[in-house]
Amino acid sequence: MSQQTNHVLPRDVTESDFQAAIARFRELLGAENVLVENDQLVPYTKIMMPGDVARNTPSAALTATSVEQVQGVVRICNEYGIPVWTVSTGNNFGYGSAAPGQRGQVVLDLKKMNRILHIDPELCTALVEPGVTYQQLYDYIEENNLPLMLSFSAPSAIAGPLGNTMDRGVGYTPYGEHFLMQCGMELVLANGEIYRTGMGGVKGDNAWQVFKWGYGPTLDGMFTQANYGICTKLGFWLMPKPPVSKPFEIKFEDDTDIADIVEFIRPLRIAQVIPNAVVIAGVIWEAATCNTRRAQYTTEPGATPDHILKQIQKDKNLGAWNVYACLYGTPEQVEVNWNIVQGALKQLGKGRLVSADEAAGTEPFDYRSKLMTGVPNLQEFGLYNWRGGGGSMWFAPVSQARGSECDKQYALAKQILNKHGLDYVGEFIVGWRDMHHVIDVLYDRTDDDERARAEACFGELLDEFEQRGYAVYRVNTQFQDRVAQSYGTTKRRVEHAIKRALDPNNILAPGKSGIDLANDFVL
Amino acid sequence: MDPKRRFLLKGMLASGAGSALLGGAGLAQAALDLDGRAPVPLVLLTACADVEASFGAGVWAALPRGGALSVLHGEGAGLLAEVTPLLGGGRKLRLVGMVDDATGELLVAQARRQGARMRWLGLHAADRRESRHSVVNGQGGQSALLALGEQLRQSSAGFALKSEQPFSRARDLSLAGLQNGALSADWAVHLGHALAAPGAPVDAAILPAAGARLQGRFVSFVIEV
Ligand SMILES: Cc1cc2nc3c(=O)[nH]c(=O)nc-3n(C[C@H](O)[C@H](O)[C@H](O)COP(=O)(O)OP(=O)(O)OC[C@H]3O[C@@H](n4cnc5c(N)ncnc54)[C@H](O)[C@@H]3O)c2cc1C
Repeated sequence: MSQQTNHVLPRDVTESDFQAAIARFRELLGAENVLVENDQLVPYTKIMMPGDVARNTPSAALTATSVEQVQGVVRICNEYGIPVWTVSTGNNFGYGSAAPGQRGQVVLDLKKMNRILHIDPELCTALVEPGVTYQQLYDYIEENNLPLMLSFSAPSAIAGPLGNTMDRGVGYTPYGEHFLMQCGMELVLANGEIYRTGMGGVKGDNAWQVFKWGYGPTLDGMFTQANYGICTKLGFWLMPKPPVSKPFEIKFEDDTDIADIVEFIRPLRIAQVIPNAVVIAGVIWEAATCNTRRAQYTTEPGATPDHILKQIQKDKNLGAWNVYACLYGTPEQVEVNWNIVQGALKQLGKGRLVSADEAAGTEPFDYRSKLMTGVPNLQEFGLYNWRGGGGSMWFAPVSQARGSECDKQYALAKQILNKHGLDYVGEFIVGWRDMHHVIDVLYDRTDDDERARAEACFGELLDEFEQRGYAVYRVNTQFQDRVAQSYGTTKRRVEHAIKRALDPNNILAPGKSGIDLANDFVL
Repeated sequence: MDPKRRFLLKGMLASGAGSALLGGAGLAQAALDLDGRAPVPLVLLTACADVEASFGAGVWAALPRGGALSVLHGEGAGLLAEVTPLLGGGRKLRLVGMVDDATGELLVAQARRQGARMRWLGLHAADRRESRHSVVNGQGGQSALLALGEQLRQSSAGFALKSEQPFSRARDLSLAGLQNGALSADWAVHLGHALAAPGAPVDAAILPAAGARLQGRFVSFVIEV
């Protein structure tokens, strides 16, 4: 049995209560599923945020293997007032990874609950446990020759649908808005009860994964990016595998093209001519994901000068903006839509169309194609080698899918990042009507000065964007309380009232999305 | 950053205060690692030829006479695919390596997934001006920290060495050498040796000198299953 070798305690929990709780966890889960030694916990501290590691260091990590065990964990947490931070596959890079949101929280790692409970190839639905990865699903679909296609986040091979959907993540196929495709959740509530959303509460019903709404209030959304329950099963819809998928790219030469690109894409996207979550990637994103490192061009500190970016663009045959999209369907459907896209592009009068035949075997086209056609890969991790040093925070403001908005956001973000000596490493993901403007704030954690600049930069990005009416859709755990403020006091009051009603002991992930009963504002 | 958790102690190692940094228990633990257990098969992971020639040379030098070592090169998904079955294979194993940031991130995630122990986790940056090292300490990592600090202090280059100690009540440690100038890859040789043979004295005389400079950003680690 491992002995506790760390001195970390959960907030407001005495040493003796903590030890008593650990003893109970061991009884419930078996000693091998209760990690309290430093060496076992180090992997839960690998954060990419600028704050000290100590802020997000757990006191322990637990692994559960069944819903009953999760219920047991919650009961023990209530008894001793232990805050518990749940991760599923735990690969929330750039948003807090597998580290708890606050120092001392116990991580509940559900990686071992990894059964694919059900896949229905006719209704195209799935029901999975938290530890299931996209790669596991992909392998299952391939091995069983099922006519289905997955949608996933870029760290697809190691990430999973449950965790990604609970954090309202996105993918790159027509099913890319993952929460939209979610259908039925099972949750362990703070009091240990099991709650199923949608049709899940009806005994003997088999429509849980096909009809979202059930009867009365539909609460699924309330449990995402939240701390009101621990999700132990997730249902979601899968796209039928199309007979033909036609990924393509359009390269645009100039920074200033962004507004025109968005105006060109929007009507095609809304009308579902291009049905997938289209990406418009900036030049550094592209360079990094074809294995280019900044140091190959300059070792000077600070933002990479524009003339170097132009050189990289030329050397690597990239656009200043690179659009990735895909058409799906029968050969006839794809041909019709392809003609429409080509016609619209002709009208636009700029942009270089690159087909899969031309780009086959080259990065970043290859991994983009895979993301749009449901083949897991890890190529996008090249971003972490652009500057290196292990610092990364996603700044992800939302906007309308309008050229003028994207233009404004791009200029503002670049100006603020460059002012702090950092690069604009960004892409726009085109939703049905919105844009997720995703910027990776990359910096070197070994450099105290750069770390401080990154922290200041992120704060300024949030402030300046908020002043212009923009906010992010998701954020790392260091800034979660700050972002909650952007959304207004009434929303926070409602969220805290729900928290008080469902989790009066404040044991489930206090601090998630700024919801924490220890917060000092008045309800 | 929380300034309260950090204090700058220039020349701490030089003044002999290194023992305070290491602590008696740390030494004992490290020695146990070396002597008290049956030898665990060692696997060396390196990202590129420069790392192999420096960090890797240190690891090789730490092997007992006739000791065996498996070596894996590469990065990203390819390396991860090779490491995953090793971590999950049910055999005792110590993986020692220095890789690029992307690969490092993937390996730490995999270590967590497999329930492995991380005895050491370091971030390193080296360029023409200086080298910077940021370490998150597990147990038994202190001796490697001391070896790295000692080597950096003796080198004629600028450096910053920081050790975050999130699990302890002790404050974080920060050492700095203010020189500026040419940088050899010797720190990586020493680090490789210290991580492969925790607690063993690092005798500079028997270590190969790294021929080339080592520039870039790296993640060093010791993972045990
Ligand atoms: C190179 C790169 C590219 C990326 N691209 C994308 C992308 O395209 N799209 C995207 O969305 N993200 C992206 N990410 C961010 C992130 O890595 C992914 O979103 C990833 O899917 C999240 O990790 P996970 O799936 O392992 O979920 P987890 O880490 O398991 O969960 C994420 C969060 O959800 C909550 N949660 C998890 N499980 C539960 C539960 N059972 N009950 C209640 N709450 C729970 C927790 O707050 C947890 O922190 C990218 C990261 C990198 C490094």
